[in-house]
Amino acid sequence: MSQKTLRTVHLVYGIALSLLLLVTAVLFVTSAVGIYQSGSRPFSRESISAAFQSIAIPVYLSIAGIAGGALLSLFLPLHSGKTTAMRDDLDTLRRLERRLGRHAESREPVIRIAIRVGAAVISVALGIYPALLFLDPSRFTLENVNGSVVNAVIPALVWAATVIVLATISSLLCTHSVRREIALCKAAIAEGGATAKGGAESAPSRLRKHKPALLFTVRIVLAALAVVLIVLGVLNGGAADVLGKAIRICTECIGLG
Amino acid sequence: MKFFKKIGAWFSAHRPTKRRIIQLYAALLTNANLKGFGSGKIYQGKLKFLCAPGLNCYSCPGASAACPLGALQNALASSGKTIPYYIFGIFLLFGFLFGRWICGFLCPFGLIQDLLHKIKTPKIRKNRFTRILSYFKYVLLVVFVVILPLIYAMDALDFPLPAFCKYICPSGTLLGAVGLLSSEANSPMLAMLGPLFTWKFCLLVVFIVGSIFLYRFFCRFFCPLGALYGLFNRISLLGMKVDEKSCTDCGICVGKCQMDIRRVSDHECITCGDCIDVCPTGAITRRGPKILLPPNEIGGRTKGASVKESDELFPGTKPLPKKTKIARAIAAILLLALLGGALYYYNFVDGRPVKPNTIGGDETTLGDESTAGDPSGSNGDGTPGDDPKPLPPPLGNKVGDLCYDADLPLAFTDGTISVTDTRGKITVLNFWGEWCGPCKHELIFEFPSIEETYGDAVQVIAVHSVLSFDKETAQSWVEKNMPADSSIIYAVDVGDEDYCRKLGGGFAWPMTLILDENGVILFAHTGEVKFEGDLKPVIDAALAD
Repeated sequence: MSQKTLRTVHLVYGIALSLLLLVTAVLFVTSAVGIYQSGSRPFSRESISAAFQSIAIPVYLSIAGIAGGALLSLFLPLHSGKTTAMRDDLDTLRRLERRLGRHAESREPVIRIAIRVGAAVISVALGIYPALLFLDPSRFTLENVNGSVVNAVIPALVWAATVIVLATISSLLCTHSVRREIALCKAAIAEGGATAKGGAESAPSRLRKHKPALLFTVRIVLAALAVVLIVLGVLNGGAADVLGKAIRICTECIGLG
Repeated sequence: MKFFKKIGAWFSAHRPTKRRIIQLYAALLTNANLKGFGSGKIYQGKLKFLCAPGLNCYSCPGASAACPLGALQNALASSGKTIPYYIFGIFLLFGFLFGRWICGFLCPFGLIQDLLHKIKTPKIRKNRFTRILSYFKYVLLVVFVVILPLIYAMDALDFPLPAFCKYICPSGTLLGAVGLLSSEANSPMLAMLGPLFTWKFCLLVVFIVGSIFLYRFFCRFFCPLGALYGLFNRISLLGMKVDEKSCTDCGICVGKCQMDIRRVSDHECITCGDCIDVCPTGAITRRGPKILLPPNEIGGRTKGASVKESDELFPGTKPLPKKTKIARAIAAILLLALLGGALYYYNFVDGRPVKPNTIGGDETTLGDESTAGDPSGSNGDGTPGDDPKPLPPPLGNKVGDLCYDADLPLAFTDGTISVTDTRGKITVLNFWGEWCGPCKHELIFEFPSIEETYGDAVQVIAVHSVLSFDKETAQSWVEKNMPADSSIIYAVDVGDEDYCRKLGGGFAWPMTLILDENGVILFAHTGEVKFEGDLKPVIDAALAD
């Protein structure tokens, strides 16, 4: 079988399996919500099994599809394609600027950094509001759980979505156009911007040049601090608190209330 | 012969990588309490004060250690009482030693995502948007792991809220909830399912489907633990290293990597080593302890040398010295011994003995079986009675059973109270703990309504867990949060949670029983109860009868 045919087979199989898995996932979610909304509490193993019985066929088909995909990969493997390079544009820019004899570090204007940091801080601060709104324990009563959940969740989700969109847009806007600067550097080099000091360097400094002694010192300090904190924690009862919590089933933590 | 050679070659080409073997080893060591999956009970021994480095819920039946993220949230929630030195020290230690090497090699949930990603579907590649989205986990870290537990700790109500665990963590849902509920012994817990579990289940499905289409969907965008460990990536002992002199900035390593890295070994790098294979100049190596590496392996490969497979833990261009081979063999034996020892210890040596029938060491005194009456309805001489009495309910802890009697020590004063002392009244028996958020919530918001509505007709007895019972702390909480003239009687459990197991029939808090005037159980529920929805209908019906 030629690689092209094999690629087509894998692609078609993959798409079909993806659709099947998505449909199964949607059915799982709707069944879970349906069980909860049916209100037939307390739930039992039998009632839950009966509710999920209706989606048994898609589940079995999904399992079969996954197994089939595994067999396809094992016995008719696809040779992996060429790895596409993804340059870190900032490093490319630094390298080009070094060749031009400019400042080694490309610095963003301070105002851009301030906007980005401000957007991040505001996102976190605003993000707390929907979390508190949603998590207010006095809001939920079992009697009107449908109404109060909807009334509480929708505004919280709208708020959270707004925050995420604002943060994303501000982050995108604040990223300065490195590609444009790279184009300008390449044009300058082509016009005869000669190599200057530092231009002989063929590779940019990928990591900050931590002096080995500094790195060693930081590690020793961290190790010592970690040991001291652990010992203090054992002495002040912190370790016992961890034990006390860990040996009890935290029904809250696993979503059982 | 050729056929067998082909089979051998096929197995050799498809053998698991060393990284996968380490992941499986770590998953097994982290869940060494295998008998817990069968019995449906979590490990409750002393070793659980240790923290596993990866995301493994401590409510998982197999969990052999505590979850660091859950421990951090609870420590922050209790930071008013105890400064959380221990958990801070644990994070520093793991971060400085391993960084995000934990994500790539030790995290069980990471292994689950890796395996899910192998399912044969088209994949969504990383792009600029996923790079931005990768910072969302820092928002979750700050808001759900740090700020919310602190806010609720400082709140006047003072009940802990591990916000990330409660509302988001898929490890808790999959390994904890599903792990526990899959056991027949935990069927009563199904009664606790509600909106919270529905939300977490739907979220779990989203994370599972997301992991199929996007590499490490949860790790990249949502995991606060990875966010924390990523801060240590540059300085951790284990990690990746790029030889600046050999590197030509071709960008193939970044292209090959499926995480949202900008460069190898930044805060997104999980040190999986996939980039080592593809680097054309061999500039990328693993950063590891020098004790096992001779000097000529530290600086990376000689330019132009052949590329070693990425699953080698310590790649090198020259044959390994004999000392290194011996050291590796010893390390492998020690690690296997550790795993074998852990499996033996957790499953055969340290199992907290379950003593459901022992109260005060006497198995026979529990319950007044004479009150059950003569089930035969006879006159005592073998002849049937003229007026056969109805069969009394059996002693037990299910609805319809006669509740066992027990002498409960009072929590804050001397003396005891017996369950039979309240015969003639409706009795609400509640099992709680000062460390339990839902327990405190229902005591504050639900139980006072009982006294307001029914007065002396209903008696509430709140039995505190014996584990970590601190009289002063519990009493101080009660005095601060409960009405001063409350008629609730506070008792405390004994032994190995003897009353909780025998009377309540379970081992999760909170638990509530409602007994009628004769001590017959009308209502038994594990989990938080509501006055209007759960208690009032039962009490009204009992009083009407």
